[in-house]
Amino acid sequence: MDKLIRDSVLLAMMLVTTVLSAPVLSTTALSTTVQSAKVQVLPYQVAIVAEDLNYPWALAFMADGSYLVTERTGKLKHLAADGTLLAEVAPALPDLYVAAQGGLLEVLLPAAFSQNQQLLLSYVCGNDKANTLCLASARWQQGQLTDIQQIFMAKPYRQGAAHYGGRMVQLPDTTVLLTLGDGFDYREQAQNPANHLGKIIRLQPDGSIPSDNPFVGQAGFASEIYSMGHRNVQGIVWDNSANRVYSHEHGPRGGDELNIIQPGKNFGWPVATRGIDYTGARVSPFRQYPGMQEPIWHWSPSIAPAGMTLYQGSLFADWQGDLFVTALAGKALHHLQIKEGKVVAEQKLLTERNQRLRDVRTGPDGALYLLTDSDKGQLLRLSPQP
Amino acid sequence: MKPSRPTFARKVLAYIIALIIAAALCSLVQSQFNLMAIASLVEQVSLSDWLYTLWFDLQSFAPTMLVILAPVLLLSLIVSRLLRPLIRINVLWLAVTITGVALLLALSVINTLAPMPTLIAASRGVAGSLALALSAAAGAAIYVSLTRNSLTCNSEAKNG
Repeated sequence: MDKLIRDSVLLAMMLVTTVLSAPVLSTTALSTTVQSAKVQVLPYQVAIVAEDLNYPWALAFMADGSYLVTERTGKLKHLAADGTLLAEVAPALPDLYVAAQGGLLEVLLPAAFSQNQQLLLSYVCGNDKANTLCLASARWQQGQLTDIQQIFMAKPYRQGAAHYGGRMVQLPDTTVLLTLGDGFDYREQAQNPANHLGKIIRLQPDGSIPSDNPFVGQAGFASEIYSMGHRNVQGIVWDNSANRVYSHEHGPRGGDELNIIQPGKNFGWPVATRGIDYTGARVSPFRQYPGMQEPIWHWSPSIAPAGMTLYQGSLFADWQGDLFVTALAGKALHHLQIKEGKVVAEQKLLTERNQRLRDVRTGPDGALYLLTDSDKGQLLRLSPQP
Repeated sequence: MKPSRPTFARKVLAYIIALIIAAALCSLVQSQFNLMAIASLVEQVSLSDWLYTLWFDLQSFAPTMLVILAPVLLLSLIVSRLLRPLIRINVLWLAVTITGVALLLALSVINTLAPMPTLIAASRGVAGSLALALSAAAGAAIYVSLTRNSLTCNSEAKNG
């Protein structure tokens, strides 16, 4: 009888507990639904176009809708529009050096590519004791790279495999801007106009120096220099509508910058910076310095900006003329709304993926294409929700 | 009066004082090398900017040096204590030498393991590395002095 009473009480308690917890459970379920609904309101969808890319670094679009992707570890992959691997080559780049941040970096298809099939590859050349950034031209024919020639080598050599820059953009006059890093240990050299460390340089597609470069013929100045005082520029785009060059560069701890690049100007590193060393030490007492250009936007703490595109595609009407910046440490795609050369708002996208993002490009179809940074890197396509 | 060995508490206190002073000295070295590099690029760095940077680094960089120096100084002092019976040189110079060399080794290991070529900017050159090593060695000298004083005082008292 006692057992019967105990069992009845227990059953009753279970019943009461169940009834009382029902609203809580339903609320939890509801909040999960709301959470899911929130995630689903994103104005875009992301599709994985290709996978198993080994530290992909740069992306270029071919006229037939296929892609060329560089892998920092030394390969150039040709992918069909659906991501199928069409060809894979390990270019015989002179003295290619793969280590840490070094290796095969950018691929650029100049405007004349459709006529002469000549492309440009930036890469790190040398060895662990003496290396630098090099630029090569090559001919892309039927899935093969031929006629590979080194057309530029940044001077001087440095030790350590960090801060190479390596991004390129072609200007309407067909000259090419190539970004160069400060070599990390050589940061003061970014202020030395006699060498290429911490500079953006301007070359003809064949590697020759344009006669109207800002410092041509000036004693003590390297003629290739377009702008100086940079740390590690890994994003550069040309804004056709405003005749402007935007670039961003990695700061140390804080002080990542977005700049509008003007020929002959000094962008301050390491004298004027909002960043401090990774150790906490101050790099410089100055945030600004007379005669040195200030960024139009900066990120502190650092996001590690690694790629950039200016959106002028057809799929996102609201995004026209805005900048999109990929972040490695920040693991996001930063959408910067631009009005008359100024950033008026910033929004972080793709945070839900929690992936280091290396490169971003606007595709010919108006979608944004991104490369993630890992040994199993992906090519992503970001397009509006249907 | 019979000379007494320093107590464990006194040793710990001496170690903490030596560590803090060594880290502060390293911070001053780092600031000086950095500021001299920047000063060579601009017309002038004002005294207030100079002093502010020293103060900033004492707050922001010295803690990093504390983390690096803590094991370096401790291991160096232990090793110098163990080697003392074997090597017939003054204990002060033994500890100072071992600590200085140990910091240089630690910086080398850190730079090998860290993603960047050189973690501490001042150690990019030989002069800066040696200055940091001397600062660490000063910590060892302070520790030896603080833990030996009691013996000396007691001995002096006995002799007096």
